[in-house]
Parts: sequence; C-alpha cells; structure tokens
Amino acid sequence: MKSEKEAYDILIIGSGMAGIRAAIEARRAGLKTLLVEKSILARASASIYAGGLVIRRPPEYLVKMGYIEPGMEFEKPFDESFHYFVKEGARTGGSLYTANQRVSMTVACEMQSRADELRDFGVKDVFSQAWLGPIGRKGRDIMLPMVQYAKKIGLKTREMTMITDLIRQGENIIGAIGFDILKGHFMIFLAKAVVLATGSHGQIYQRSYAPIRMTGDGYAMAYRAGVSLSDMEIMGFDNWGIAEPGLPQYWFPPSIARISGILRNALGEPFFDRFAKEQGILGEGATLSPNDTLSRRYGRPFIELIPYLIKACMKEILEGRGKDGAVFLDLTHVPEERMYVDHNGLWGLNILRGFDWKKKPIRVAPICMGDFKGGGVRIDENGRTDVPGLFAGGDVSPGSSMLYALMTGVRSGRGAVNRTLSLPMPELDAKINGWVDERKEELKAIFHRRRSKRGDPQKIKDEIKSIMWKHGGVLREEKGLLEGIRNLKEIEQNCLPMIFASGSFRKLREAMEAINMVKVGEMILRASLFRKESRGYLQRLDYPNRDDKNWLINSIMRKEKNEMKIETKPVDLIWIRPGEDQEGGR
Amino acid sequence: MKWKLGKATFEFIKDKCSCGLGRCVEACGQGVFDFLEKPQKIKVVNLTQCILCRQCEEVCPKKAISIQGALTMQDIRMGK
Repeated sequence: MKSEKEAYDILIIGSGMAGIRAAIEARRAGLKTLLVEKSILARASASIYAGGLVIRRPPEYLVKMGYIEPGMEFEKPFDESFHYFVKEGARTGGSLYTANQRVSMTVACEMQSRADELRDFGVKDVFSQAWLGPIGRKGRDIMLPMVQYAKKIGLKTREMTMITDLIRQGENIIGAIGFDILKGHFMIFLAKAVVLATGSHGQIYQRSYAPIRMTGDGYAMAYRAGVSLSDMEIMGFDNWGIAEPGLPQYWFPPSIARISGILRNALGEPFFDRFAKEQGILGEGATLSPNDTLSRRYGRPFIELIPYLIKACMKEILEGRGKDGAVFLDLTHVPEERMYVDHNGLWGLNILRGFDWKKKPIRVAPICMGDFKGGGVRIDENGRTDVPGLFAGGDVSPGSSMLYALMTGVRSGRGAVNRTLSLPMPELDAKINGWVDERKEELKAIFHRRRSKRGDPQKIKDEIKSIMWKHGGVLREEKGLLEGIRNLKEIEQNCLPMIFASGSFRKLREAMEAINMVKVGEMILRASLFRKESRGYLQRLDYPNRDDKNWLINSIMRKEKNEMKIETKPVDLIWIRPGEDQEGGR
Repeated sequence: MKWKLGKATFEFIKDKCSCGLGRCVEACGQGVFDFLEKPQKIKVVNLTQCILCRQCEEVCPKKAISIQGALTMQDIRMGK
C-alpha cells in the first residue's frame, strides 16, 4: 500500500449539505481546502433525500381542504419561524430541554440570510421544495447547484476516499488518515483545521431507510480521538416505514392519505385511540373521527404526535399484537383523491407498486433515518468541538435537518477559517508518525486478510443492526441494553479481529464502517443505560416518565483510558425552560 | 434487462455498462446494486428496495440505466 501525504489549510470530511457549505465558506476565504468523500460527491448523502429546506406557504387548495400542518413559513413573521426552528427545526431528538438552545438560536438568527444566499449558489427555488417534485429527490435541487458552485470557486474534492481516523497530536487535531478506494493508496492529510461533516448513523438499525453509507463514521472517529459527544441516547425513530415483504423498506411519506390512516394491530383494533387516551395526549378539540387527519383526530400537530405514534406501534409489536414485527396502517376508508392530492401521496403509490391499499391494510413498522436526534459530536455556536482544530456541522453534531446542516455548515466552516489564519502548517512528531504507521499496518492487515466465516463485514453489519434494533430500538430497558452491550462486545472480541477485505478496497471501506458501527452502537446503548428516564426519543420501559428534577442534564461521552466514560453537564437553557413554554415543551 | 416496478419500468442495459467505477452503486442509497470486482461489473441484486429516485440513472456516464413510467401528477390529471 503506497502512502501519500498532502497538506491543506482546511480539510472537510463529508460532502452533504454541511460539508459542501463549510467548503464554500473556506474557499470564499481563499484558503487551500480539500473536501473528502468516501463515496461520490453529494449523491450518497442524506441531504440528497432531504425533504427540502423550508416550507413556503403551501398550495391554496391544501389550505382550503384543511390539510395543512403548522410549520416553518418564511412568509410568516420572523418571530414565528425563529420559534419554530429552535423548537422543531433543529429536530433535536424530540427533546427541547437537552437540546443546545444556544446553538439553535445563534444559527436561527441567520436562517433567512442563509436561505437567501442559496440563490447566489444557483439554487433556483429555495422555498418551494417541500411541495414540488417527487420526494426522495427534493434535496438534490439544492445540493447539485451547490456542488457546482463550490467547484467553480476552486474547491478541490476527492471522491472515494475514506477517512478512518483523525490525527490527534497532543491537544490538537491536525489532520486525518484514510485510504483511496480507487487507487488503493494510504492517505495522510495534514490540516490546520478539520471540519467533520460525516452525517449521522441511521444505518445502525435494522429498520432504517437512511442511505446505505450513513454508518456514523464521524461519531466513531471523534470518539477515538477523545472528542466529547453529547446525549448519544437521544436517537430517534421518526417515522413508520413500509414493512410489506416485496416492497422497499422505506418511509411512507406524510401524505394526506397517510395522515388520514388508522393504525391497527393484528386483531384489527385501532390501538392508537386507546393509547392516546391512556397517555393523556389528546389535544383540545380532538375529534377522534377516522375521517379526519391524525392531527385533527387527536388535536395536536402531526410533528408532536410522531413520538407517540412510534411508541404505540412498538408497544403493540412487543406485546405480541403485531404481525412479523409490524402493525397495520389501514387506508381502506380513505377517499382515493387524498392519495392523489400531492406528490407525497403519489410517491407512496409508486413505492407501493400496485399494492391494493383500498382492499387491505399495509404493514408498517417504526423506522429510523438517523435524523430526529439529539446526540452527536458536541459543538458550540461556532462549530467548535472541545478539541481545538476539530469543527463539526450537520447531522454529526447534535441536531438534524437540512436547514440545521446548512447553518451549522456555515458556522463550522467559518470557525475553521478563523483558526487557520493564525496557525502555521502542522507537522507530525515522531510519536504520531509511529501511530500513523501502526494504523497503516492495521489497515493493510485487514485488506490482505483472507475470507472467513466470522469476519464478513456485511454479515457483521447485519448482526449489529439486528442487535441495535432489538436492544437499542424504540423502547429500551436495562436488561435489554445490558444484553445489547454484551452482544456488541462479543462481536468486537470474536469477529472484528477476523474482519477481512480479501484484497478489495471497497470491502475495506465496508470493514471500517462495521468497526465504526460497533463503537457507535455501544455508545448509544451505554448512554441509554445511563439516563434513567424517558425523554424525547429515548423511551425506556423501566423509567417511562420524564424526570426534570434529576435528569435535566446533558450526558457527555468521552474516551478515557480506553473506556467509555460518561459524565453530566448542566443543560444550557437560554430561552425555553421547563414550565415556561406555554405550548408544552418536550 | 427490464423489470416492472408497479407502473414504472427499470431497465439495465448490460452492454452499455462499461465505466468500471460503479457510480450507480455509490449513488444508490438503497443498496440495489452490487459492484463485482473480478471481473469488474455491476449487478442488480436488490431491486425490491428501489424507490425510483433515479439517482443511478443520473450519475451513469454511459446511459446504461433508465427508469421510466413512474406515476406523475400529470398521469393523475389525465385520469390514468
């Protein structure tokens, strides 16, 4: 394996929204910048599939039909959008009080100008994304012009290069190492500042519709470099996905049809009505009429209902009233025109591939995309992590959404630029040189290792996914979490030493992803075990209630002497505190 | 080879597939394709997972993939 060494002012890892935006910021400052991507530019990111940036006023006919959910509308007064972003737009795992409000608020102040700025990059229709064009492609109308623009202003990019580790020398991050999949070279990148924009971890669960490369590499890299991660337990399941055999495992878009559906268990019972009454979540004016959309039926905006819907589905499944790990979404009573009213419904029909939803209910189950999460690499409002030289933006930091990625991308890029200006180019000292050589040898060993039954990266990944789904999924409890940790440790001890790439660099990428996934999985399980309450998308069966008295804290995870150490920090609530939010915060 | 996915048709023209980079494999978020290394070729392995996002079609430099006929708003208005 040949080694190559390159030096840059700023190294950016990941080419989704945050990475590209940070790169634009760096190039605008005229700095020597490299953007590295383990797949191809932008296309493998979650941003491509994102549901657009913001919602403009929806089409009049939908308003008239009364189907409109509250949301962020830039034509509304700024106050409302600001409030909405801090509360919901950053999507911090359904947990407002552990979210870093300082970050959300700082970036929210800029959101109008950040969005307007997209026009300079050649994005044609900044606001109307959510209503136009087929779903699953909305983000691309924003991403592709941005990639073009970044290249036009001289951004150097490197596709098919996987970063395996950050280089930490003393107290600073001074670059990263990895390998070029096409050339087969070992790569050493030195940089004055590194921006981590590797996205989230959605693929860690069996039921996931995250793009296949979203394996949480950034969390694992940051962890190994001793960087703090916060609230790794608040990782969300934001949707229910199709669980019919023979159909894609993908979410069912929030079309008018879907939100008119009735969730039923295997006995045919509409269980969410019961669940909603039991949990006391019926809002004012709840009609409970099956002909209404969910938000009217239960008197709450859909976005607030989601965590309860997911929890209720999972409860039915766990208590044995599901079928093959799924429940049923009954659309048989839904008038056909609701399916056809918008692109989302149409997209649903296309994915259903002729499944007759008028005749029988569709099997659905909770599904994870890795967004709606409050965990990630801890950053401040300037995108800085707690290790100098490393910045993070987008889904790898605590928060998630296209708009959040756009704004934290700018902040982290700018933070990196500022740091760069005062520093000379770093050099590797003898000790770190030795570490780099060791890492290279490890990669080489995996690369050359022959096939074996236990070491197949794909199989290991599948196993991690099923462990995480079973023990670290929607509803968690101590016993399961402990078993999950034990199972992951078994994989770490028995399978990872045998992991092979049998001479293929694509397989080597797969292997490194599997190694990262084991770490990320363990972080999620350990953090879930630590927090003894239910909050946002962390739902524990043994501690079903939110406990603001004892657990209004951030859990901070860090590597110390090769152990995962969790400590707590007081939450930084600078705006909305428990009890002060009239609409009932979460 | 042609496959029917509901109303849509997914076509993969083997003879045109020759870039050797596997950009479609990379662009597909659903893992529909597999990249075989010796000899280098693309294989469609998991078509049930296709969500018709057409990213593979867009990144293919040889136009070896085409996805057509998915239901659109226009079809609905024309009463198809």
